[in-house]
Amino acid sequence: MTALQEVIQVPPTGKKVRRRRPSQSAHRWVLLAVVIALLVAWEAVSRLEWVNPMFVSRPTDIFAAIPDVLGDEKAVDALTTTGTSIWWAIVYAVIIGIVGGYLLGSVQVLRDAFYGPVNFIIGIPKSIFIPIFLLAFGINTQTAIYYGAFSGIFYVMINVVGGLDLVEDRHMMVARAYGASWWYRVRDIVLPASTPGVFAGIWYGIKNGLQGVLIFELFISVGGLGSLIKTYTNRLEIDRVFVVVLGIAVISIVLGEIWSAIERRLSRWRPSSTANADTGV
Amino acid sequence: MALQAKNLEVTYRTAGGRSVPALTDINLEIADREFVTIIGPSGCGKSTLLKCFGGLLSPSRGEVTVNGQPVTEPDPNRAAFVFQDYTLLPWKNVLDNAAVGLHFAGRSKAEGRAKGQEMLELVGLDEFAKQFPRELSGGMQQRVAVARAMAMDPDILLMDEPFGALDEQTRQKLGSEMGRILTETERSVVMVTHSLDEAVFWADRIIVLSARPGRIAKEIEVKAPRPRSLSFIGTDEFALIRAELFRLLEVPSAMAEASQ
Ligand SMILES: Nc1ncnc2c1ncn2[C@@H]1O[C@H](COP(=O)(O)OP(=O)(O)O)[C@@H](O)[C@H]1O
Ligand SMILES: [Mg+2]
Repeated sequence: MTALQEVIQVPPTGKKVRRRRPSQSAHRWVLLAVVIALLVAWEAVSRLEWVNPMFVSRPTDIFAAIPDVLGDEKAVDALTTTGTSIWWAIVYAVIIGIVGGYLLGSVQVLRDAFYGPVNFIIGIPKSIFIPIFLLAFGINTQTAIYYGAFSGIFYVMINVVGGLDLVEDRHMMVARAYGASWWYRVRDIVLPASTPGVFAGIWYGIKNGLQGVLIFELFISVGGLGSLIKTYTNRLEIDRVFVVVLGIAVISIVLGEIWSAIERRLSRWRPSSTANADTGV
Repeated sequence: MALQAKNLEVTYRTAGGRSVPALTDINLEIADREFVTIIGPSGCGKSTLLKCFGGLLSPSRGEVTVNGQPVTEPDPNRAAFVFQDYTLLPWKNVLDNAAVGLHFAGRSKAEGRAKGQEMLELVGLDEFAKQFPRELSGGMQQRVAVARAMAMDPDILLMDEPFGALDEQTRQKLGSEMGRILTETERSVVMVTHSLDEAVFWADRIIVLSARPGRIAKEIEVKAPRPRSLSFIGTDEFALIRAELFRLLEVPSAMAEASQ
């Protein structure tokens, strides 16, 4: 029935032929098949003992370990800790990054002074700063938050600056010709015009903030999922390690999906966003 | 008299420090309810002149006054612009775009909506109020831009090749519609155009600018009363003025002679 509807929906003269849906759902089935095939292959390789099951767990065991981990009080604590840390790291990264990005983008002096250093920090591994964070803030979960925020901030900033470059002269001229005050120019022209950059920035802030918190927890035993992975690994509970990794993957996917839903709603005026909205992903 | 330009001169300074004379020696008066078209070779300073009229640009010398008041900065109630490019704000729907000037002036949302809706009806786009600009054709977007200008109840409408980016057919259709509207509003209109037909058809008076630096080469009055029906195009007056414009714009020596 879907196929029939698709045929009918295609306009006879259509420049905008929309064949995305069937091919996309087909694409999804292929993807699922590939994933299942990989899991089966993994299971087989492990059962045939081509790899040492001590170090690489097998899908069925991982699956079986899920209830164990969920029943482990320490795991639940770690999840709460990491969740809270990630949340605050993202909030700090996004807020400071957006404010900083707008300052950097709109004040030429600041831009000249800081654009280079910001780009430099983006280019190097942030983890080399972990010792400095430990020195400054001590070994605790709060430091994980600061380090996570630090990992995200610069990506947010650089994208917001890029967003500001999207503000078009012709729209600023309209604002001037129609008597817009400074505040209206910011609110009705600069902010909306730069949203694509801000959205990209927020997305990178989420991604890198999350990574920063986990990496910090992994290196430094302050609790949270990162530290839990280390604990389980030391006890050679590899099944559980994989369950935690799976959990982290789920968290980042969920965060990503929530954000793209918000972004789609906020950018309905943009041509590409309607295309996204139509695919029903 | 609505608008007066005295000894206007504009010289641009490029980033490299070079000075580019764009306009010299412009003296002009535009009466209440007069429809003036400006035509001239590309780059001769037509947009520059319009920007001076609207206060978007301060002349290097001379001054512009409206009803005796010097123009120093834009005031959409005095003179409202319709730009050549598509300049609707893509993140606002059609109604909010039409009302954007009232919004900038701090008027209430309800007032803006009411006025915007009224102006959209005038240009025949009230059904599209909730759409975004990208969902409209170029011609429709320019009609919204006209509505946006009219919503300010300006004394003067300043239109910079408003239909210049459109194809000939759309342009003619739109032209006759807009002409009706602009004639009925009883405002002064200054319209830059590069179409000879447009320049003659709408105008009470045609200002011909010479090539850079732009100066007034010739002023031509079109006597036929407005509003004009399409049959005006078949008259001798139309043909004669059009021929003269053609000569001025296409034969370099003719323009030079006229500028003396
Ligand atoms: N901001 C500017 N800086 C330097 N030169 C400019 C600027 N704006 C316009 N000009 C120059 O001034 C002349 C007149 O421009 P314009 O008024 O846009 O002409 P028109 O609208 O008649 O095509 C052109 O030669 C153009 O290159
Ligand atoms: Mg121009």
